Amino acid sequence: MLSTVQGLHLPDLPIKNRRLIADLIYFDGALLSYYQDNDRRHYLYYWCDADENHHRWWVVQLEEYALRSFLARQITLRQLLLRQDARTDSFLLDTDNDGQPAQVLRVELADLPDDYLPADETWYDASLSIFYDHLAARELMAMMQDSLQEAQSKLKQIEQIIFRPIEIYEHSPVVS
Amino acid sequence: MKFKYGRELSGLEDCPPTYYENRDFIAYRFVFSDLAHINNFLPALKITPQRINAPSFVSDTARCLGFALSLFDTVENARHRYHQISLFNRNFSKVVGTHIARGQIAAADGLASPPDGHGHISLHEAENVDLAIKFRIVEEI
Repeated sequence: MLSTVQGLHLPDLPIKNRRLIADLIYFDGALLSYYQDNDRRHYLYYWCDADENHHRWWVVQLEEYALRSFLARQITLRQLLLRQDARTDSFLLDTDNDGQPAQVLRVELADLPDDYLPADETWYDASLSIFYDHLAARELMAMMQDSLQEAQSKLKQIEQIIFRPIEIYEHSPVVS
Repeated sequence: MKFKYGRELSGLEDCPPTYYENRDFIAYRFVFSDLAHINNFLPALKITPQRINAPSFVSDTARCLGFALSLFDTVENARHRYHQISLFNRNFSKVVGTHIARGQIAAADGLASPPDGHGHISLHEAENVDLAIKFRIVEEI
């Protein structure tokens, strides 16, 4: 039996025309899938539980910047899913053995059992992923690339501050 | 070679892939503690055949993999992958089991992929092979 979770019952997921971009974690099937819809909204389908007759997925709509940070290994999966500013919507989806929705709940993070959340140290590892077409792979690589460029640019800014000539500090006002 | 799931593989392009080979090797697999558990030596698409319609199994490549058994080349690689995935999906043990079993695969047992960078091997079993009698549990994970 799957755990009972509090939430608002819905007839179906309010996600239309989703397209699988990649299975970010795959072992004998998807464990974390990344989908986009026609409006380029981003969704993670995160497998979190199962019993004899059902699989349970935590479906999370995410802001793109947060997903980029995860793919560029700037944050862990746990940090990504727990960041309130990153999540715009969140559902539990139970599918039966035919893959059909058996129950859909709109849920709050606080109502999820602890073992439904990833642990710490869940840095993205591309070796766990499967990309289904070149276009999707390129799209994902571009997201990672952009995030890395952002990170590099921030690193440069930090380096510029750290390596400023000493006289700049000498003439800088001191805040007490 | 005739395959255990030959009927399912027959319509799939390049399945098993041409670079898979017959070879003898020691293999490790995630299993449930009861070695007679029905899912212990079934590939993903035989455990839940309806998943063939899921988005992850649309391509022939993915479907072909779905009829192969996941094995590892060393117990360390099996243990490492299990622990890694269990950090991401903490109920992973509910689908793959709680133990590692070890067995000797013979060349006649099927066609195997070379181990990937993490020691994972996919095996398409030959017809009439029963791996359950070849494997013994070596540790709880």
